[in-house]
Amino acid sequence: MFFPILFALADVQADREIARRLKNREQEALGTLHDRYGRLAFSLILRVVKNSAVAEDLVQETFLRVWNRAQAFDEEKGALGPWVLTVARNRAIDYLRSVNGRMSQNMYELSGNEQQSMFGDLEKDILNSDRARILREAFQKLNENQKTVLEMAYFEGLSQTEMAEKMKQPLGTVKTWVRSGLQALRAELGEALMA
Amino acid sequence: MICEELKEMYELYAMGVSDDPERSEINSHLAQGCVTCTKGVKHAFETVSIIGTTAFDVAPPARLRARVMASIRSEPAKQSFWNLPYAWMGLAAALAMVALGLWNREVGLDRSLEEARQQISALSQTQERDQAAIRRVNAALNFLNQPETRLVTTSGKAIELPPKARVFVNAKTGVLMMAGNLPKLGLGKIYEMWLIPKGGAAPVPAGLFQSDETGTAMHLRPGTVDVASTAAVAITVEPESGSAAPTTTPILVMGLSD
Ligand SMILES: [Zn+2]
Repeated sequence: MFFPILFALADVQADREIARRLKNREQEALGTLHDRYGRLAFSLILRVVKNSAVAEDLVQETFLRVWNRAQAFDEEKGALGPWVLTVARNRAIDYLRSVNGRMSQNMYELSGNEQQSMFGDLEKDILNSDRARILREAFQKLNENQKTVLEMAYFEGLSQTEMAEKMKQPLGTVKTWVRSGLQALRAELGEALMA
Repeated sequence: MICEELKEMYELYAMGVSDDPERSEINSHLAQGCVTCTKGVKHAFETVSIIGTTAFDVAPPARLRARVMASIRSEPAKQSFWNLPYAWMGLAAALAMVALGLWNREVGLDRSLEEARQQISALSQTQERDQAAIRRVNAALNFLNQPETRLVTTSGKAIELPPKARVFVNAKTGVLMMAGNLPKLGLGKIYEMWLIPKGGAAPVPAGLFQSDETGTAMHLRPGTVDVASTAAVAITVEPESGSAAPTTTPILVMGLSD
């Protein structure tokens, strides 16, 4: 079983309500948010850091960060899930980088991608959408190299240059795998969905 | 570069792993409100967050929810380490022994830990003790007890009766500083700890603390530490409400390099 992770069928209305309560500083709302996305965040972080105790710490940090930044969230617009996942992934990658002593020379500042405006106009619950299902299936259909590089980018936070070093492959080869992998995903999604 | 050339990089950009020049180019397109790139990058954020859901599903321990809730209930976090009940002094001594055990590596660590635990247990039974203090001592003990915790350095920089400190860092859980020979503070003053980033960025505040009559103090800055990009830990004397940036010359600077 690879994708049983979406246990809860979230709907946007519920997310909006949680966001509104978070902004009101209602502490129980964070519990509700955790009930909804805690398992997803934990699984994602564990995949990155491969240590359950560390993953627990980082989930805690994730939700604290969401709590502290909830003011900026526009509950009229998006679903909270992708935002929570982004914060969770950033915490995990930050941890990985600090442990490996591999702080960015050229790295995009991770917290920049936590700006909620980037998740602001989601019209539906993206993590449970058809698009998500298609994408997850497409992801499994990638060849090993394509899947490996995209997983290294997402779950290890490696740039193409770093992947090339780690895989002992020419940079051009890695770039080809990344590009063709992403193209395959986009093709499965279909151009209509890009609109 | 034109949008068409950047399209292929949107997902890597959303993952924070795109290389230059594309990364800077996308940044400037977004900054200029480029409609194509904004739409494409937003779309990429969604795609990327869906990749996050391909992680193998693992249920977190049931205690995690309580931990998450506790982390916000402990707000406000503006407490000083020495804002503690009297019995703390005994614990400080026990912890100093723990540190000594760590220092000497081969001796006494377990015994010192055991003594500290006994004191904690005694403390727990005394009603008027502050639960927060116990949590903090436990955090310090856990910190010292982790194999990743390592001793950084031993000496300070002042000249006569120099203050001394030992600093322990743990990338996962924090920075623990134990100091002696600290100068007496004037009225309305407090010590403040700082993490000094490499490359000349502004020092990051790491908490306020006071010393006891003998000039010893212990201070824990809990939370993750980016060890690789931290050059040093420093201590300054500040007005008692603390400062956002150091206002005096550090009385101690401890480099983090090996
Ligand atoms: Zn553009």
